[in-house]
Amino acid sequence: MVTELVAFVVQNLVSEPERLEITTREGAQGLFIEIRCAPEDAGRIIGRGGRTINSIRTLARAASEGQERVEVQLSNP
Amino acid sequence: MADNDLDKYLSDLGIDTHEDESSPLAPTPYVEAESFAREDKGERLSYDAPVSTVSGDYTERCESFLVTLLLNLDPGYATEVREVEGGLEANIYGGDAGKIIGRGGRTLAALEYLTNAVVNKDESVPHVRVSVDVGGYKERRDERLRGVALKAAARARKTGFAVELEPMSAAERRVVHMTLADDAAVESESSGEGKNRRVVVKPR
Repeated sequence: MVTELVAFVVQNLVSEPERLEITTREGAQGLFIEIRCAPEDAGRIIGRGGRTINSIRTLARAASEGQERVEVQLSNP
Repeated sequence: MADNDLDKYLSDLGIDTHEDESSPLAPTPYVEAESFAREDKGERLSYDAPVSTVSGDYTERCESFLVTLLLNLDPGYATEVREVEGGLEANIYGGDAGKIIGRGGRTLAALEYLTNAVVNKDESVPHVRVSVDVGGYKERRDERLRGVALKAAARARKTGFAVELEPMSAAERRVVHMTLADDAAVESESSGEGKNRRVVVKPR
């Protein structure tokens, strides 16, 4: 549910949703969601001063209801 | 989870629950992410999401974005979007209101920010302002803030001294400034940085 939510939000922010790659890793520390996007879309996901990615993190954490730790990261090559 | 526990939990994660919405990206999350990645526990899975993007006019985009997003939070939520002067007003009903409001309205602020970004994605057309409320939360908050503003103005007028209010988010400060904008006896300004930014009400 958390990953679906992050994927849906990010798809609607970028200009090239087909080029998004989302991977998840569920470890002992919690859920780690990694996003890769077209280079020109990075700014749309990060936002001014990181406000967009921080808002995505806030929503992802609300979706997980404190059940587990959630980290969302944009890691472009 | 009790509020104090939640605070501690969040601060252990490197999240400052009192952070101002407009503050720059805190560097901590990335450090956290690296240590996450280094641990390398758990299998790395590729999430092949079917691409689902919203379309239509402003109202339709706003409505479909909120509906799908809220489904992933709690299927109990319902939403209603209406056109108002200067933009759109979305209201969310049902479900657990507290979950979507978050501490100090942080989750709601994040939801509103992202809704604005998605609805106004196309930079070649004029932007609309989308306001999102949950069960009248912002309405009640704004009503309370107007009371706080008027009380501070009365005190500043009576004593002749500046009155400093509690630290507030940008949206909250805006309500205070708007309330006092037409007051001939006082003026309001924001001072302080980041999470300490607050309104000061001064006699003119």
